[in-house]
Amino acid sequence: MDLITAKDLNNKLINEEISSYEVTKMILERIKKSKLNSYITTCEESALKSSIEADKKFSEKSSDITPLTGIPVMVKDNISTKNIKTTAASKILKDYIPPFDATVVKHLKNAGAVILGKGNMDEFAMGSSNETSSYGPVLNPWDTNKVPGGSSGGAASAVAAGECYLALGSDTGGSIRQPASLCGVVGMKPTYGLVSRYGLIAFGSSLDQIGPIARSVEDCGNLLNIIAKKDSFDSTSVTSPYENFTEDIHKDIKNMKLAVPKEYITENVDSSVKNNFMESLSILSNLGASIEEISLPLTEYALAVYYIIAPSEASANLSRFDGVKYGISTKNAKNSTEYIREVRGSGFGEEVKRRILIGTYALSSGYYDAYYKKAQQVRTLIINEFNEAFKKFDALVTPTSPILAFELESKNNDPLSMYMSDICTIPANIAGLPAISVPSGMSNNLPIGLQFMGPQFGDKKILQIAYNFEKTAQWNKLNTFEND
Amino acid sequence: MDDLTREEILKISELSYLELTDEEISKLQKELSDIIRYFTLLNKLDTKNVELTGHTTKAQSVMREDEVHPPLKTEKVINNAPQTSGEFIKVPPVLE
Repeated sequence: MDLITAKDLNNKLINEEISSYEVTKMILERIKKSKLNSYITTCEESALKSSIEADKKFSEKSSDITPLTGIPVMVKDNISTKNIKTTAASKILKDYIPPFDATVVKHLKNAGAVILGKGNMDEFAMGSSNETSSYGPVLNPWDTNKVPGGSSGGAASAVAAGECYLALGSDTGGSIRQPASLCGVVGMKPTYGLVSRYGLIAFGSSLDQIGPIARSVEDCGNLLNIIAKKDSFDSTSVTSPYENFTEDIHKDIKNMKLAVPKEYITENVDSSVKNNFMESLSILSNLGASIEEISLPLTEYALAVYYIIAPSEASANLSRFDGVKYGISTKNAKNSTEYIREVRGSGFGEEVKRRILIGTYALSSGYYDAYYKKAQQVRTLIINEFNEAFKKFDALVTPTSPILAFELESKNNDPLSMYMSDICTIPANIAGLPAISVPSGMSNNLPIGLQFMGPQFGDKKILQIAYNFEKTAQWNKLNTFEND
Repeated sequence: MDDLTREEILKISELSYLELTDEEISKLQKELSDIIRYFTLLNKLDTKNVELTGHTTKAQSVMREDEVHPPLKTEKVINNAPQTSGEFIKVPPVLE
């Protein structure tokens, strides 16, 4: 019952086979018993209240029932929720209660969703294993000795383990797709600008994008339909070219032109991932899509560009955390400067400090041209290279993560090796492209994901391709772990 | 590139308003240097006359009507400040 999709639950709710209250209550109980640590905060009272409101709509056959009405969802803890603690998994925001809702949260509420609580994550979304959270690591439900990926590790783990039906994550360099891949669920980063970032605690503003994590491609698309709206509170948000991202999802993909950029299939890709990728390609080819190998030689520079641009933007964005308007405080500082240095020194974790320092270095006088400006120029070249490829192809297909879920604490002492786990997902953020990860198989009882990247505003098409793949491959139906 | 010196790390930490322990400083000397050395990979590319990309949307100076919206309630906002006095936020001395 509990590992059905949001769409199936929606049907049961409409037919009044079960109430949202019962489902919400059951999931809240499961979260309480869970060892996965996927939530930082749960909001039992307000969740049950929303579920009762939703049930009222179903019993009245109300006209404003949406695919989200009465569906229990999780919101990543860097997305502001009015009157619900929002920490971004940082000690520096341990008691922060936003006085407003992020625009996406308003959309969820208007659609009648039941917000269960706030998802654990890497601190300020900086990490690929969920181990930089100040509230403890999240465990991978398939193997609790393994990481769930990051930074939206709580969201992916909860969706996989039946601790919510849908989740909102954020993706700056793969933070939705990589954990979705490692936990065997679907995760999508929409085109930059499609979803408002208002109320998202900023990390790298030119890269950040909020997106859905779900148990099926269609659920992902249905959630995107609710949140993809232009917002006057985010000047980078755009009017969606589509009213409905899922209307063509059932159409076949015969004659679609797909390309595999060979630079994504390096010797760093685990052999199990590589073998699975080849099998996925034959599924796509049997579905009638053509597949061609291409070269995107600038791919090898994407990681360096990302680790200059993201920390540079982060060092500016995180300057607001000074222990004045919100955050922790210290007692002994003699003056403001000392106070701010102490608050930030004790409030931020290791990875966050590392990135603030890298960003400050890259932006500092004497180094700006060599690093930040250079990275922005290479960013232009990478975008041009993608644009050329999308003149000929509908989408690119790659593995989502080069490796399977890894052991907890196995990469903590080597930041660069941790950064490498995002090598296949980072380019989409650099170019602002939509990308989706969909389950494509298992190795040693650990999930593997397949990634589709489309041109800007190609969101609808990659959903269609991913849906067709999912329908044939059926890996999303496999949830065999003990989740209670 | 040689490893960053202790003084260089201190300089960056000062610009970043981050207090670091001695242990953190020596660890960061190696870690930051490794990461920055990795960045020099970009020098292989000629970027003369290439435009900069700041944002991937082409949006520039987005304008909207200047409409009045109800502001947030002072108490809700001020409740998050670690030190307050009445309606005000309290901070340590700025000028000594």
